[in-house]
Amino acid sequence: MRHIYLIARREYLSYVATIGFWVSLAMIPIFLLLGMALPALMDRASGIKNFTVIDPDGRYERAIEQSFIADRAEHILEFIDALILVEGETEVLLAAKTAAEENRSEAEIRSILGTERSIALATKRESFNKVPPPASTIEALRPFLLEEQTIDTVRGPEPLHAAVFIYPDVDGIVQIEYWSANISERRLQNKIRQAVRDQMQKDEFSRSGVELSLVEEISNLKPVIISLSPEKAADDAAVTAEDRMPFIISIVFAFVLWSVVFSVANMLLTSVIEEKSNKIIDSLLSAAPLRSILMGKLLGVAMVSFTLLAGWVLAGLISTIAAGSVLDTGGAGKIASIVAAAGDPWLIIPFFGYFIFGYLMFGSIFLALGSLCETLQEAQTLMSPMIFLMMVPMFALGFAMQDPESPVLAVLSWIPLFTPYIMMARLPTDPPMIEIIGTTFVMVATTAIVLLGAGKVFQAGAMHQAGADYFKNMASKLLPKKQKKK
Amino acid sequence: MKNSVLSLLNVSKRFGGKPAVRNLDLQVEPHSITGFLGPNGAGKSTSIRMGLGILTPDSGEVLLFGKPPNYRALDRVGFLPEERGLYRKMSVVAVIVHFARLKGMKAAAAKSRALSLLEQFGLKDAAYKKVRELSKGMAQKVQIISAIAHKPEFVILDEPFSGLDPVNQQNLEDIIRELAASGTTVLFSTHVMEHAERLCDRIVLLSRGRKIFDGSVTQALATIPNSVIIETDTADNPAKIFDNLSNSVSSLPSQSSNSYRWSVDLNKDVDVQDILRSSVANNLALRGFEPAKRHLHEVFVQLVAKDEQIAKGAK
Repeated sequence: MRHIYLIARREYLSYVATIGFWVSLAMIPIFLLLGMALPALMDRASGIKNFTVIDPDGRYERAIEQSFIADRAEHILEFIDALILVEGETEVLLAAKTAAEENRSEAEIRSILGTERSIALATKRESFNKVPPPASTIEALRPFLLEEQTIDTVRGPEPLHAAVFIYPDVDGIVQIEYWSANISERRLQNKIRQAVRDQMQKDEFSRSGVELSLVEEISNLKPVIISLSPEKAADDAAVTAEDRMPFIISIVFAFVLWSVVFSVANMLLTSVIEEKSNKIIDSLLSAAPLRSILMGKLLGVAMVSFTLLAGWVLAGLISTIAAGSVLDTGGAGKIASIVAAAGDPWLIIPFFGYFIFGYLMFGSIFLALGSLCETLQEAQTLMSPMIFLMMVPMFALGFAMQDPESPVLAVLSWIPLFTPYIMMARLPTDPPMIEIIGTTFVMVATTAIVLLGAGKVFQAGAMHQAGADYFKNMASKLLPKKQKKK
Repeated sequence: MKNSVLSLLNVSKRFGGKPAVRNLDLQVEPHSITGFLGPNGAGKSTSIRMGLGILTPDSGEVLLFGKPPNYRALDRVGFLPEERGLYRKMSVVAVIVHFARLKGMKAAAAKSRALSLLEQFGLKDAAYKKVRELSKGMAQKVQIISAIAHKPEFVILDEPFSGLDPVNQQNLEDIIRELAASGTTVLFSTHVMEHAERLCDRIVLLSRGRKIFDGSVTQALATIPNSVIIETDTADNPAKIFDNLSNSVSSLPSQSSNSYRWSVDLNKDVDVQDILRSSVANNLALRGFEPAKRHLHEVFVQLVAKDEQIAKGAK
């Protein structure tokens, strides 16, 4: 035990006691945070984009205005729904929701919500703001669009992002000139086109004698899909976001599992290559049994992976909390359901079980292969088939995101090298118990065989100086020799 | 044999069908310095690895402290492998402590011992440097310290002098003498005979995996004939004068124009005094008479050459 502990300790500290390890670990929440909050941050950082519409007729301008008002109303409703998710269906929130559904003014809704929530609502601002045209010709507007001149807004002087000229044609075809120095921004263009299109259609219906109220009624027709689960009680069978969360979490867990195993298995490979190339292995062998060296290394790097996992979990929590506060109130509600799903023992316990076996299988294989090589270049030849094998569950997980109950995944689950990742992703689909027990048994048995085999290869590599041609030599011994021609 | 620190009893080992060690018997007695000599590929490192239990012999028996090698016994052994290496990213003191702890030392004691040895070896200032920052000689010293930090009773040094400059070679010789003086048994392998001649109580010579000599340095030197260098006035080869005493007389480069130098190899049991007496009896005008000093190097060359001739003959 002393040897195993000391070798594991050295192995662990060789990674964890480096600044690089902690820097890379600290980078994870930063990247996660950026990934989750970047769109909102970018939107906020870019500020409100002012645009103006020059429409001699005025109908299309009003249609555009209405479209933005409708968007705002929808966003207010979303905001109230998010508050209900976090705070529950309180009297105030239900009253505010009713007001929003009745398209009452934002000021009225704010007064119902109270000061604190109103401030939060105010921060949930729109990306675009329609302003009166500072000039009516493009020549006169050009300095504003090129930011040589600013327009006056309630927030102070600001640049003009776009100017929209609408020219109705005699044949009913409307031409829109969209002037902007920012040629990559497409959202505003699309929004204006949609609003004008809707107005054009209304005009056409009107010309054809169709009642506008009827058109609106028809265009508002849409089916209501209610997702229901037969596994739930009939009176509460609706599938909620919370119900879907375990599927998402299990896929995330499977990806994390794969990433950790792949990262740390590579650590084992490089560590043993370093020991072989630095000729440390003989010193170790004269001090500790081969079995202890093997176990010590596996244990030490397993500890590294637990540190990595703990770091990732912490980073994930910090990131989601931080991202939630950056995004909006609804974020907190989502976080609550994520944390609840991720903390489910029926996912956590299998996660650690699958980690242990996945790690032991791949870790011991990488360790054995490393013992046959003195350089990473040498290792690459032996590693290629393993890399291909490791990529299979990665692709399968992509597939599992679309259809976790696919029979292809059920088949792949029985391949022990893939079992930890695929089964992890499939667990919330309630696979048959025989599959869970059967795949687990095959995986455990394979792990034992792989460990024994890896021990033999490690012995050949470390003790007998076997090289990268070990498997070729073994194959030539096992295969029948060709008879020499006389 | 029962008291031997290490016993290799009729051990053999083959690699890929080729014999690396053949029927080797080797005993390392307590408190001795034993030189394990032989040309490259003679089987020295393989024998040492079998002695430590790193390799299992195909046949024969290995006893370390009277028992087959086990990790309790190996805690009493310090080993400097031929192909040396240290963890390059670790600090010097951490490496030494790590290996000492693997050999059963407590952490605090190992650190204290490491620092004390580093001071003794003149590496006090390098204690907290990374191994990769050390020069080759310094790294070699750290490796030696790692092998002896846990105060082993038996130290095995595989080619300890290779890669060391003359100053560090001398330092290492001193270290080996100090270890032996403190009661540690030392076995070291080398193919540089000077070190063995200066240090060893006993030498074991290996060639082609077989033991071709086992005995003291004096016994080894006795296996080659005495020789004497004489200087004469005449250019005539004095071989006929020493007919019964010498097996060969060869000319050596002269140091002056009116004198001639000869190397006279003596027959077995012939003393240099016999040559002097015969010279006087035969009125040989001697201008110089210098008994040549025998070295282990010649013993090595002669015994290995003889063994290789036998091998060629057998083919």
